[in-house]
Amino acid sequence: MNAEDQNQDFEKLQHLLKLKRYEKPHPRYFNDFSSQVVSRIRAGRTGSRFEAVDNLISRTPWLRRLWRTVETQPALSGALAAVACGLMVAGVFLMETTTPTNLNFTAIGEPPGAENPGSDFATAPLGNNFAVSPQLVSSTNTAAVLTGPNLFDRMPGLPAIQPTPAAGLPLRPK
Amino acid sequence: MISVPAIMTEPASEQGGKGSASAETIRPAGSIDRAEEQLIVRRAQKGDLAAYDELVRRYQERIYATIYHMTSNHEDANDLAQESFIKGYQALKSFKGGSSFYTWLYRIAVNKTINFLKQRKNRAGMSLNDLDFNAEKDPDLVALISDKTPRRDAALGELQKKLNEAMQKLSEPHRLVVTLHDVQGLAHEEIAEIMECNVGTVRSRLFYARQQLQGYLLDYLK
Repeated sequence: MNAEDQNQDFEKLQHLLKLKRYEKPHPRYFNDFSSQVVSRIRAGRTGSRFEAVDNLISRTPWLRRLWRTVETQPALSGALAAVACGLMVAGVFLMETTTPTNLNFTAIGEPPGAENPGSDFATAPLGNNFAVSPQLVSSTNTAAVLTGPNLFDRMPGLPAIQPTPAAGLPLRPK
Repeated sequence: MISVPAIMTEPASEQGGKGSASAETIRPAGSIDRAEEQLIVRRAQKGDLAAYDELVRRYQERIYATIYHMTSNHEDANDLAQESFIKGYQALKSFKGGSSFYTWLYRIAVNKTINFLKQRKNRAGMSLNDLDFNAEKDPDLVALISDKTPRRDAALGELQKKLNEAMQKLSEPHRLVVTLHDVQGLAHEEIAEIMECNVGTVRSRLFYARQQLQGYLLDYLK
């Protein structure tokens, strides 16, 4: 290729390179660019709490692209916010409907010493009061469904809680 | 001694809003602008953020454009441009006025960008900006896509992609001289000041870079 051809190609190349001048970011991009810079400078002065978030966003390309898309499309950001709120409300609603409200407790077998209510607490350890019931053994439900009156009502030997005397004497079983 | 003002590029719209339609135009940097700028710089050096905001607005498009043309990635360009301005503010006290503020700022942005590109081992994909609609009216570009060659069928978008791919194949210094001279219209002397080398080095790098690009884009230049 002679010099003339080369110069001609350089001229055409320069025409082609003009194409790069037409590459522009979206029209609103520079509207708040300077204010973002100034905000970051101010944040740097005061030690921004959001520096970690800014760094995370700046170092994660996909998050940066997502953030930019949300920034430049208000309708999309509004839709995302609405979806997020909807999910939160749905989550709260689901939690409320699945919270158990009526749990009844059944005794697990007859506590030994039930015929002898006066037996000493020490000889009726808690463990013996909880014999395995056939119903529970055959059940595949790991959650024990207990029905009946309060457990503590059926446990013999346990002293009723009495108010501490004014002198501060220890409690005694009935 | 009369100083010859450098030829600088200026975007069609400083605000970058709608209507910034045409390609960057070229105008001489006036002495009045320089004096006014010096006042603004002095105010910014004293901590006046409003003054620095004005400086950012003046150069945001040019600095962003340089970085974008170097990285071919809008997201990276955005981050690097912001960080360049932030670093510029932090280093303001060290600006003594030996060069124009514009050149000084450019140097910060260029160094930051080159360091970033060198550290980015696994290249992120290109994230190209859209072409302004006025590109289709540019006679030089229209001529490139309307001749009887393989490029006849290539839409401007395809040309843009190929051009950016070719630019990315250049080394950073060569890509920089092409960006500053052929894309942004800076003079050799100004480029030499930014790159801290002599004018001869700028010319030789430019020649080599053009040769490389010519090879990569041969099908589109016939």
